[in-house]
Amino acid sequence: MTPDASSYLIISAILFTLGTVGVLVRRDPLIIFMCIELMLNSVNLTFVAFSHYLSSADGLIFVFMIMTVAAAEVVVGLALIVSIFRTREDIDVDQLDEMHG
Amino acid sequence: MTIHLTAADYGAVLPIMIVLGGALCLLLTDAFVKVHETEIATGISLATLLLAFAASAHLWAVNAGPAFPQGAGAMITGDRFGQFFNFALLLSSALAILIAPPYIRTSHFDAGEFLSLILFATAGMMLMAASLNLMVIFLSIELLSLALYILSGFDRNRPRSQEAGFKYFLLSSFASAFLIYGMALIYGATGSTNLIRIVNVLGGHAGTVASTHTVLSSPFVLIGIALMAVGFAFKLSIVPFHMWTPDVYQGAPTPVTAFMSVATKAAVFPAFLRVFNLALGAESHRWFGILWALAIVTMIVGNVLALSQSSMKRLLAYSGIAHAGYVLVAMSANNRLGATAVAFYFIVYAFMNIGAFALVLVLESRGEAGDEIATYRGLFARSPLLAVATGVFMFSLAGFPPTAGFFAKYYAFAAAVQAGHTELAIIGVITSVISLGYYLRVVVLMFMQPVEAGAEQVRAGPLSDFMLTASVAGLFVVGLVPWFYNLAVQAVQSFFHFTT
Repeated sequence: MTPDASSYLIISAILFTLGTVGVLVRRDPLIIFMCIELMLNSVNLTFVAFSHYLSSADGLIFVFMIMTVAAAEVVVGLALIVSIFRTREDIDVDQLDEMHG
Repeated sequence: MTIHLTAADYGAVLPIMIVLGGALCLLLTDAFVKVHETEIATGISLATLLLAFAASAHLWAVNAGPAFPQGAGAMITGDRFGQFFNFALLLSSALAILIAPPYIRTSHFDAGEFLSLILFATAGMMLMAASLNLMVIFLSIELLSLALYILSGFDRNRPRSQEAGFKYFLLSSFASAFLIYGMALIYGATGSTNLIRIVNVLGGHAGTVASTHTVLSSPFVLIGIALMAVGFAFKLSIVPFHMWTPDVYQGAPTPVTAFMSVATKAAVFPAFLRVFNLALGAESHRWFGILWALAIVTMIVGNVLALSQSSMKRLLAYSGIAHAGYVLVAMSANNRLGATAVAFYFIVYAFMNIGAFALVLVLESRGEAGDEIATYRGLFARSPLLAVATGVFMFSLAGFPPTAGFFAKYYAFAAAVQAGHTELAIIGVITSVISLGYYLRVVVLMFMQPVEAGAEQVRAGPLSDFMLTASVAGLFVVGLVPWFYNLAVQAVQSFFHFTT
């Protein structure tokens, strides 16, 4: 038995929710970052499922775009984390509170 | 299948290519030139923007009719609507670069890197204003965001700048995930990422798409709309997705704040309009309620929180949130006047908001605490030009006639009234009255308080003087000469061509 499109959609919705909850409750920037990647990849799964179901290539091309952009985001994000790490010992997002009001 | 690219196709992306080419030139010259770096880099970037402006004006002249040169399958359009926003984007980029050099020198920035990143962000914004496909919208929003993350954290040794860059990065990529999940669901419901095809499918003229496979189930459309609204609202700092704005605006280097406070909104709003008012125009009964509520909350929260700020950059951040609310009022009206008001708003907003940041910048470049509103006491005695110009910007932001700020707000609220939503206009006017509380506080401090003994005169430098004078003149000219508003009207004619 092959699973139909709805199973993939449900899986990706669950993954997306897990990622969202992870971003909201975790405090380590790297873990938050991984959760965002999880969200992006669940979107990829959605696109692939729809693309297969609709026999349309648009979704597959979109997936390539998302993967490329995610790679670029990793580069910039890690660079920012490294630059913060150079000036402080640990990086907990709760301690990034120099500005508030 | 072969792809034929015509001269019109290249023409449509010419302004964007010029800006990208200019950014690459800057990086190259930066590698070789070692003397007068800041002056040369500023010259190159301003020349690039001028050239792109000429190309954009040429496109405007060529695409005179509402006709659409690239055919229905196109991903990028060179239509007048996009060109009009290009004018606003190039203008805000140029104004920000004009006031940047003293700041670049005092902060020891690498001018080539800094300005080329601003140009890359500008290119992404122009692409966004021209996009006709969800894929291009996503790519361009990332192009502009990646450049802005780096720019916000550009002052590597200042913890506040690092914090701003990192916060902006995390929250913005979180928002991007919502945006593309929404796009995925819309794609699933309509079978295409092309905005024109989505119009056809949702408008009931399916047949251009493989309609037999179309899912077209309404929960997908509804959830897709909601998720995309969240994504766009984050980028536009609309309440309740505005939390990052004050921190990022305060922490980022001031020229970057000045640039992104206007240009990001001027780039995202046209795409927001194209997706919601054009592609999802047939579904307006589903999204109107969302935008209606967001607009009201944004206007109230932005204006009320701005009242208690002691930092000028935070004050302007909350003022920016409030202004996003006014523009959202115009957009949710979902009529021709509303789209015209959105377009007109950003020409005005570029002059008044970047102008307001110029004051902070001039004081900061002198090593003063330009961000503290308390230091503006008696500024008129120290620098009449700076004080008068800032006064004009504050009155314009508050919406006093005869400045252009009044007309921008007037058209936005008139659109809501025309659409039968007088309540939005009433709340807009009431919150504008609240906003007088913080805009006029700055004016009173500058003009009616005595200057502290021993305070030095402030001289802004030739480029900043030029920028301030041009912005003040711009605010009166754009407000009083109807030619600019007519330009916006013509721009919107090309936009509504598809829905009728």
